[in-house]
Amino acid sequence: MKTELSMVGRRAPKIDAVKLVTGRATFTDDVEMRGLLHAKVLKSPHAHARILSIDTSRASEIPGVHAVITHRDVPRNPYTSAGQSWPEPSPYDMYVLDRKVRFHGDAVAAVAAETPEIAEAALEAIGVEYEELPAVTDFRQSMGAGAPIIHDEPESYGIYDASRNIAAHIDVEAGDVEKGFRLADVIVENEFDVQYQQHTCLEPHVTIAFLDEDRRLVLRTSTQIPYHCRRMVAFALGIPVRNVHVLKPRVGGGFGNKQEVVTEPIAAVLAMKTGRPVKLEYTRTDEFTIARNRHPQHITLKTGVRRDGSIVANALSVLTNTGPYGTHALTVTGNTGTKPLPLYRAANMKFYADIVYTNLPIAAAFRGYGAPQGFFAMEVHMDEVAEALGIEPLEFRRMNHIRVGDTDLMSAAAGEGAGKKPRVIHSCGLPECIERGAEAIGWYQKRGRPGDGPIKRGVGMCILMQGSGVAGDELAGAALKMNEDASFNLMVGSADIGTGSDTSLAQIAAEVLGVPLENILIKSGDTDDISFDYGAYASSTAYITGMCVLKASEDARQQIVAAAARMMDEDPEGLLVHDEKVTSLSGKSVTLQEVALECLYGESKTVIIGKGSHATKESPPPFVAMFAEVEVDTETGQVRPVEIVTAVDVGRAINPDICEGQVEGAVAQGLGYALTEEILVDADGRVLNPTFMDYKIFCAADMPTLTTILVEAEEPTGPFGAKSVAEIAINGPAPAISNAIYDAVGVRLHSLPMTPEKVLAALDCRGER
Amino acid sequence: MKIAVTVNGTREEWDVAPAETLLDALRDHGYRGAKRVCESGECGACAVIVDGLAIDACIRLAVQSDGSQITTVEGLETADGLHPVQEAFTANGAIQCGFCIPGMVVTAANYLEMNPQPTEDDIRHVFIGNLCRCTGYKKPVEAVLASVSEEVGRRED
Amino acid sequence: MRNLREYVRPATADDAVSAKQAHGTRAAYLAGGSDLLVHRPPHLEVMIDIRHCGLNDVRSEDGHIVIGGAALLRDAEAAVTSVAAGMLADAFRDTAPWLIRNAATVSGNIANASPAADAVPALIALDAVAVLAGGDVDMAPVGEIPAGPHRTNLGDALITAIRIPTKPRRGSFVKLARSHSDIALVNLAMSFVPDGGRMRDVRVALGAVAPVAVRAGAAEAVLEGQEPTDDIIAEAARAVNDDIRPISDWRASEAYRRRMSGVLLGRAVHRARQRTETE
Repeated sequence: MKTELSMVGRRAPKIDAVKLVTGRATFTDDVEMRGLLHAKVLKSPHAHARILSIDTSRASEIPGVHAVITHRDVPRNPYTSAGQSWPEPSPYDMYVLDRKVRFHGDAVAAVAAETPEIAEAALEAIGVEYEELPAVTDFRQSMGAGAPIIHDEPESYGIYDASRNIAAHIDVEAGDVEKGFRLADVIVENEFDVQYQQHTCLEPHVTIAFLDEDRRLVLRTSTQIPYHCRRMVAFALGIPVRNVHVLKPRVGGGFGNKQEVVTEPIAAVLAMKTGRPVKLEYTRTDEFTIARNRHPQHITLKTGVRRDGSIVANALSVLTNTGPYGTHALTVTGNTGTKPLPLYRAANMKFYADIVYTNLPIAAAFRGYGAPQGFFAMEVHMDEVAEALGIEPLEFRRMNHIRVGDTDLMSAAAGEGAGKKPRVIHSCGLPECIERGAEAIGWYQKRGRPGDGPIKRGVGMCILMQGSGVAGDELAGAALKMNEDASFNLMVGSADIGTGSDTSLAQIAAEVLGVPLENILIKSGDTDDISFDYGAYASSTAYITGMCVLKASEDARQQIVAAAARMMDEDPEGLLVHDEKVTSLSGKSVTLQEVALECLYGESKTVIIGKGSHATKESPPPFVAMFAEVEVDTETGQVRPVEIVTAVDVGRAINPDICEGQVEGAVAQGLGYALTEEILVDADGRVLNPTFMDYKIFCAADMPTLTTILVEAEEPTGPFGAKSVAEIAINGPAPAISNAIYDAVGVRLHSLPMTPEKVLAALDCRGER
Repeated sequence: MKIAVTVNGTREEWDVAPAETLLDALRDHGYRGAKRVCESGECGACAVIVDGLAIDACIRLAVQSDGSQITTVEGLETADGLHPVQEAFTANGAIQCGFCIPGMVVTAANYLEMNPQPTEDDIRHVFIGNLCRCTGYKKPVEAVLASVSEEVGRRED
Repeated sequence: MRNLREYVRPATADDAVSAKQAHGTRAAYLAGGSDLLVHRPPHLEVMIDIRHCGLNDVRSEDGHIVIGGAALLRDAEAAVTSVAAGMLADAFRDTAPWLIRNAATVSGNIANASPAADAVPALIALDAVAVLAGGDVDMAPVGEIPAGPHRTNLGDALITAIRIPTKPRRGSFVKLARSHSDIALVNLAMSFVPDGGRMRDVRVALGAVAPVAVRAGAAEAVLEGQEPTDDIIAEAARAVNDDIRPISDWRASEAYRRRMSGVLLGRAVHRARQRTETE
């Protein structure tokens, strides 16, 4: 690999920046579609009910209504909306439309009409008779005797135990924890509670479905998973994959909420039924009520340690609320254990989980993918373990964290898909992250100095790890074609959902091919292209698709070198491709443009097409040490984050601006998770706060100072040493802030979000003791 | 109802429904830079400048704009190139998904006309009504500051 | 607003009132739209745009600042920076983000009758009076306009102006919320006429602790004529409990709102005192 890099490592402006900043970039709904119909979905007014009858006759007769569909009009093919590799490790418990509704807002019927207003009127004209059923609105009751069974339909499969509302179950052990606990000098046990969090992508879910001139179904859709979407929609509707063409335009944020097929199936059915283009677009209220959320959990941690600070046993158990459907049920909660547990060296680990159904909003994939829950618990807990031993918390982490050469024991015991292979750590910049982060926040100067007056200050920290793709369950295919002017069409199946991956991937190609960034014309997320990809999730794109683009570019580069060697009458060995030319050691050179013209029109008549396919069993973790400084108002309970320092080991920053942006955005989302964000439901399962006014994400004035430190512990298996960066930082603000609150005022917060009333109640308890 | 508006310098006549918002009318007439996100004036993604003031187009009736001068994000770019705020957002890595960005640059461009030398705190407060879920606001705020500093344009590594 | 069929743009306040009287509850006065176009009441058939009636100005007049009935929050904020040591400007600024202050009006914030409105307690604490057209009376104290959550005593009347006495007062506005973009969990405005070190003619008003913004008479009585010592402030903070009727909802519990009312009272007095001292 080259040591001198010219494109990789540059703060290149995003290649789509100008079109985005001028409003020219087209998102799904930014195109003019002649004859477009507007779809609306009739939503359940009950948390749990059986549909006894639906009368659509009046709705169908309204002028301007083109289709009204119910469960009678769709194939009864069980599917999961989880955009995962096939066969999805999520239960097949969903139907495009069903005879039963399982939460407030569940789809009952759908219409397509000339205008949104007519569609609304049609919904009101649909008569539905429901048999209301008892509902489970507290996930601690889901497995209880007498709880109503949410999936009593015989067709669903892949459910761990439908009779007890258990969507999925995990019970894995490495070593022998009971033996470990017997060796412990001190055992610390804690419980934690975490809430529903909404992604709030600014662009809602939206799909425009239409039939092209060959009567193939085209889905222009806001998705993270173009290829999974194609397969899943085809399977759910019982049509051949070849008849589905998915197009991903610019996407206005995903964060996991679009690692799902959500609006696509109904839009597809309506388009096929009417023969017209149909748009199904969620409103903001829909996003807050019927899209997807982060799973609420109750987590118990029990850790045995020796007086010398070593950990002898670590056990984590989880009860997870997946809502009415088990999309990502197993795998999200899998991460709750398998990401935090191996961060700490221990010979004995246990991870136990039940993921249960409720008649509440749907939980699914959300940036961090189970790890934010697990790390909140683990990193607050580890502060308490350190305290029980009288060891400084940062020092305790230094003593115990995983390091290069270690094997991730949990990965072997509980890996996803085909990934049940021990993960060996090849790179780990955590020591440098801890050191530089501590210095940046002023850890040793600020710790233990709350100050006078009602507003106290504190600092807290945590360490984190994530993965780079799903170990052993990733695949990317890319191709690259050379044009006359030494530009290259790069086709990738991955989905740039705003992360900047199109730019990072183009930088990789430009680096290998010795051309400026503007020579790379990238097209991503079109399933009719010569590409393939599992999609933008699991922090996979830079690492997996990046390596794939590296391979494709390398393939093209070798073809260029061979052609240039013929043209210069030189040995291909020793030829260098750089600065838009190929040079030999003897001083000869040809420009890439000359090579391209010769190949396309000269003697050789060859199209230079580089191609790559990449899969790996590896999933190297990026690492973070995060530090938070907070102010705690002891009279109001308000917590104000003052600064967040994130020192992150990304392996190699292909584009530092993009890496920092990923970290800063993840921190902002993590701050909301820590302090202000929570989907609240009433006793009947209705969402109480489905607006930005009532559901509080951080705004610009709420933000603390953000300091991001990029650490580059080169990963031997990644493109130019890169590993992932997209998700990891979201795990940190909650534990770092909880630990900082403890430093400021001496109370431990174990429940998110850490609202003023919770903080005040904890302070009151401390006062009473 | 028939209304006349001037959008980015071009006079247009629109036929709008009484309850139609300015946002829907703009998007229907091809100005799709303003985005539909919350439809309740909470996020700023639909910000446009009407008669000199940036507002949320989702909570203004189209008919209220009869006779108004409107500048959308598409109108910030001139023959001379990008608006300095657009230039700075591009150069400073301030754009991720880009869905909130048209509203942010319209808001900032309008605000800077009234306060050409803002502090970081000023910008953070002006952006309270511009929600972003990707950037954590750091680079957008820095971009606005950069747009009025001496060194507009590309910073070197 | 699916029933909306008519938009009228009167050129005078009288024409606006006539239009409203002609349609009654089927019509609404519209200015910035930051409440009406969010809630989009389905029954509304007529929108009366009051932004072209000559009510948009803010001016000084015989010892008062007069905020026109269609004056924007942004213009009002700029005009009241010296009122009660900036207390009113703070409240106007906290009412809404910048983009909204470019569109929304002060009178709209009153007429929306949100229990948590920020401008209302501040105006009450300054003895502000609304000038009305088309009502039973020509003037009403701002505090008497809201009748309950999103209900007013206005009937068909239009607020044509808000008059705020400019006699030299000191004061402060404090707000407790989850974030900078949130409505108040509790807000509190207070003002007084400084008399040496003593506070005279004390006004305290709170929002989000009752169906409408309330004057805190018990707390005012404790503070009246006193120097703002820690003991007096603590006593007033206890007294404010008798002035409020908060509820528990998902934003905050009754107990929290009660406790915070006392905390905010103390902070408001401290802040007003600090401002007095630094002048």
